[in-house]
Amino acid sequence: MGTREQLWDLKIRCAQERCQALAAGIAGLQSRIQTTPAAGTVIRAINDAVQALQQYLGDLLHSPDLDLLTETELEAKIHFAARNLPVLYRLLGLVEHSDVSAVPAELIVPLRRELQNLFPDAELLVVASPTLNYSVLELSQYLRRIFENLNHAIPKYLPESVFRASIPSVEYDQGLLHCILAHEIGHPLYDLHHIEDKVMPISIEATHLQEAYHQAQREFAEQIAPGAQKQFPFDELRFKRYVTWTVNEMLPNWVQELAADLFGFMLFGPAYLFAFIHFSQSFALLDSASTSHPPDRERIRAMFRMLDRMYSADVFSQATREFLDLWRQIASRENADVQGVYEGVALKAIRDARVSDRLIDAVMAAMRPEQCYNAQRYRDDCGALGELIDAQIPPAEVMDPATGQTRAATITGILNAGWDRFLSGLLRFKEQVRDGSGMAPFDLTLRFNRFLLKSMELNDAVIAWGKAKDDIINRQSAGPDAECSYSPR
Amino acid sequence: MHALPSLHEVSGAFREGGLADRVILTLARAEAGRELQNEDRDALQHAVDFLSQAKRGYNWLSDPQVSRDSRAWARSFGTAARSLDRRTRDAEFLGDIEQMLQVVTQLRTTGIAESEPLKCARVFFNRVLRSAIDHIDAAISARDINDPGAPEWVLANSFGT
Repeated sequence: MGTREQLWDLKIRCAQERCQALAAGIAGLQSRIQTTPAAGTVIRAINDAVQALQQYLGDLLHSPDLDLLTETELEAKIHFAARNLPVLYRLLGLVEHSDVSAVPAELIVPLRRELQNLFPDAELLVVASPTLNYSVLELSQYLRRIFENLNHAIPKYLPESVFRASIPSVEYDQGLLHCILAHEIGHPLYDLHHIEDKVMPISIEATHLQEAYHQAQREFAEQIAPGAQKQFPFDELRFKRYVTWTVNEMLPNWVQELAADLFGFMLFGPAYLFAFIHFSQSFALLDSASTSHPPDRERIRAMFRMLDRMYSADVFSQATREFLDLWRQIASRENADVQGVYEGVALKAIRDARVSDRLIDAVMAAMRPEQCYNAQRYRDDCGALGELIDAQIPPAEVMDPATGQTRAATITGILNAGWDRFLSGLLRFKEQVRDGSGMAPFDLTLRFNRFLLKSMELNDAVIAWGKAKDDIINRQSAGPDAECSYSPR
Repeated sequence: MHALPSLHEVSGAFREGGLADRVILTLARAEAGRELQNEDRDALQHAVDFLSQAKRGYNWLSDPQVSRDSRAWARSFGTAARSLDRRTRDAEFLGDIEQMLQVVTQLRTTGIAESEPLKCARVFFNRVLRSAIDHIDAAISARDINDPGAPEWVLANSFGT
């Protein structure tokens, strides 16, 4: 074996050792009790991918025609294959903290049910992260990509989609804020319903872009060599690349974020808008934008456009109406302080009425009526469930006044009624809490949020019992040999 | 609220790097006078698509419409510009890309190409592969994943160095 071959052999053996170390780490994780089967499935797929990578690396040096490659080319080839390893580490890290000790169990089953209404073959895992952030990430696509990279068959047990929902670990009992997850579910819905293709292309006024381009050139030149911008030897190609990339990333990202908000609103109703305002305004500037996100003011404005299409003012309580009026006013003010030339270009393009109408129409058309929350449900839930909340009775089920029968409430109903009472100051709820009048506002809010999470847990028990009861009745009518169709959750 | 763009970046970089990896081996085979197989022709077709997208990305500013396609053009343009010789000026970009486009197109259709341009294309696609590796590393370490196409002076300022 020559020096060249020895070097490549050593590189590959080192990478294989790292695979073995990762496989050992995975074995430790597999023994933990996970909140849903999805975490175990992802860990198993990562383990299989590690084995496939080890095999792939072992086979690499026996590939045909490798002797034709230069040293640089061969080194790049080996390193490119080995790059699957840190990605697998990253994926494994994303599954950590999904065990039963880390996440609110009350939230998981209802969330899984909501998700499977939209994506019947999907699985969910929930993790608590030490960041002030919510996210939903579809993991299967990345695992599939790795198996494809390694020319390996995609395991049959891997679901079409595995959603990883992340909630802030220190806020895990803030039930009302968890409505933010509705936005995150909006991202996969955006892809599923091809919303981008229904909203794009978006034209940008060429003169406007040119102005922004030259302004950015001047600003960058000034940053590098203050006062000497005329002599600055400008690298036109790099700048053109930057501008082209920035605008083509920013605008589709913004459209997707706005669409995810609209999907969140369609799924969870006004509760999502309330949660968004309460959560984001605790740390975000209203007119701050980035390559990935439009200004919050623009997002709130888009949600108000949808709210005004779907909800009349009289469905809201007075306190909620006042809250909405205030924020409608704030959202309608001009975004005077949006920083950055490209943000300005993107904002102008996105505020074109034709674009925003296309976006709202596309999102509304994508959803089936039974998947959407609506004004009638909001009115009913705030009435019936709201009364239970006032009496500190968990609003897990509701009585149908026409039949006198009870039926299970919905998670969206509980959250909307919860927000309605929260915005009204929790006055009657407070009366029912021992020492409620002397309680600090945050403590009362926390108490209320925990009460709602408990309600969701009870609600889930009601739903599960209802299903089991239906199944027993069906079996009895089908005869003694019929099989049980419900399964433990 | 905030997505995890890094894995999305990684996925795109694997796609781009995988393409370059196959193209390099195909060009090496061609240079050694080996007969091209169907998989080589497929790889060359991907190379043609990539270079054509890079050209469209370069010209995008003259008709700025944002769409799924334009996003792909912008990405290919960015990768291609980074993968050319660092001394390449704006005026030379299209010429260099056009030359490589001719080489891979000719190779795909006739199975032969001139040696010198073939070597240049090989160097170029190896840089594309290395750029993909850099992208994966950057995304995994959450370093500068927001602006991979940014000029260095922008990045220097954004990190206050």
